[in-house]
Amino acid sequence: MPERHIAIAGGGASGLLLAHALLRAGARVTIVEPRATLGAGLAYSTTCPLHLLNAPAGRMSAFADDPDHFLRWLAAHGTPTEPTAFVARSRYGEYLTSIADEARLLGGDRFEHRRSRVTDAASGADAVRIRTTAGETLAADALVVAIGNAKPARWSLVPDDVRASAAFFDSAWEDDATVPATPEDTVVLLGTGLTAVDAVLGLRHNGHRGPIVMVSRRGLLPHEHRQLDRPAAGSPLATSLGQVIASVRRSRSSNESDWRTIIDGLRREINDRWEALDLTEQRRFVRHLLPYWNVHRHRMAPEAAKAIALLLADGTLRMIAGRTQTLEAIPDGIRVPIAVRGRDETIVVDAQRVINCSGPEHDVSARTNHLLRSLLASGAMVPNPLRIGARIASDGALIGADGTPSEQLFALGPVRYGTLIETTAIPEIREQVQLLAERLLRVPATVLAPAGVPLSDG
Amino acid sequence: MTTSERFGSARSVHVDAIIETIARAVATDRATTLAATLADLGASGAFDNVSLFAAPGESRYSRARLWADPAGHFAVVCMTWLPGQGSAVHDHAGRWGAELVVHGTMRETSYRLSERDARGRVRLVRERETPLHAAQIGVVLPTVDIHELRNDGPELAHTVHVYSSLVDACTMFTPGGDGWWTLAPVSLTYDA
Repeated sequence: MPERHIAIAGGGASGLLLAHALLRAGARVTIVEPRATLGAGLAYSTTCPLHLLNAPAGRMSAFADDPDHFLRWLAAHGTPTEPTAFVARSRYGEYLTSIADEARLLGGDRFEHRRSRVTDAASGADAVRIRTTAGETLAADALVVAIGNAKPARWSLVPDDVRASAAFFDSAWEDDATVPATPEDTVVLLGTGLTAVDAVLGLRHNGHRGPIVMVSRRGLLPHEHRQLDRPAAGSPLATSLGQVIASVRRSRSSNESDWRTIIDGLRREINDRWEALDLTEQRRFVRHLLPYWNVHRHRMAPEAAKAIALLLADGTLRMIAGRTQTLEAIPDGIRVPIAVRGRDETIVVDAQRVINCSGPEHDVSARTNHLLRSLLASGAMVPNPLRIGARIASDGALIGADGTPSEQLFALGPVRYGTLIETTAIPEIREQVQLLAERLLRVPATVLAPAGVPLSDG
Repeated sequence: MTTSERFGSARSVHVDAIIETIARAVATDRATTLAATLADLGASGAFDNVSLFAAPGESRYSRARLWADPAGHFAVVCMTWLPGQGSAVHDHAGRWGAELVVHGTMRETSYRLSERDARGRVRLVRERETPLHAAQIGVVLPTVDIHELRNDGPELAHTVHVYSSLVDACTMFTPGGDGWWTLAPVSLTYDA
């Protein structure tokens, strides 16, 4: 069998796990990733010990075919851990780093890590040609776009002078976003989801003691993890999302079983059910149900909930359901007017710091990533009709402007959002990795040049 | 943000109103919301009436059940602690809830379960000690629900506990000399 050469744009958790699977199967792999360390992308790079995994250790194995791998790794590395415990994300970063080391050993000279970014990629008759920010080109049998989560959606009501001010942070993951200038600063977080929870914990860890105001339209905090229940199988009678929701409601009010087991049981099915909906139903789901699905499905670790509860109880942290109006630059910070939901009232908060904690930008055409822009420009990638993500086939292949799935361009992980509803967490990613690795070993193998030798450009 | 802005002027609240408020918070199914609600109630003086609490006991702290929800969704227990009195290390049988210090100063010592052996014994890691002053809140959420509480101050302490079911059982942890703890199921009794 000829050796396949697969290029992977992005060396976070999804890119690394795919590389590992491909190397195990004998393929040649080039990861293009500017970070020196593979595995710990944005999600697992945080060094704050209060930032825990959002799932218990027993569910976090990197390998679909070896569910206890992470628990064994923890025990072998001096920290035996119960499957129900929530481990620091930085520890998971170390786990992924050890998998990167293993991938290097597995791959030998079949594996290469280029410290740059893919800027564009073009399908050709015999290979996909890839260009990087380092000015290099390389050719591969296929390219997998594994660039992780998008930056937070841009907050539109931010005038230029506010955006340029030192008090405004467009992402909670920017350097120093959660390092307050003075401990007493009033901080406003635009968003109340898991990113906002992370920002609160980061601020407190970095010595912040002042008031924090969290704002979102519905004012919904994520729910809390309770215990490691076995996910229940989804209701076999449910044929629509409406019925699914009804069965979750019933189980919750009857108090017979925890709704969490139902939601977790639906994780696999939600993607199939989503794909089966027509466009109108998908729109309705996004508008009315997705925010609720997210706070029920994407839950916070109990330790995080404990910390948030303390701050809410002593009044340091305040939660407002409402619409943030146009921000205004004031002498020592930013004025944030909030139109309170359901009431004819505007609360004005003068903050020394405002952090955008909204979820990732899902409209691919609004994204600034060079590779995505080039794929969109060439028609190799097209936004899906909902403008949430791109059109992607069920095997991960990009569907181009001509409507046919590519044999050379694939997506993995968060980039598939829109085609899938659940595609950002390790349990989903490890399954995608397994299937995609099998798929990639069947792409036509035609690249003869060794990976290390750049082909001439053009 | 001052207290008066958040909660309006202090006013006395009857037990029915307290229970109704707690029930709404429990229905959100979020310990974060329950904690904030309990803190609001405490700040409004809802638990200032000492007749809600049992008289202190010489042998151990006392428990008074303020409310048992007929639908079984939650229970409210008021506890009275003499200086130095404390609980054993215990869990909460999978329940969630919140605990408010009304008077006095408590100390919460939290533990994390790290290992289990074939004989059912466990290893506990002492995670942190948190002083809880009046108006402060502790949250109970599985799996971070193993702790002990102690009246750490010179005065009588009163605490209010809301739990997500009527179950009156939990597990008590007793340290062995060898670092392993043994588990014993206990049934709680009430003094009022």
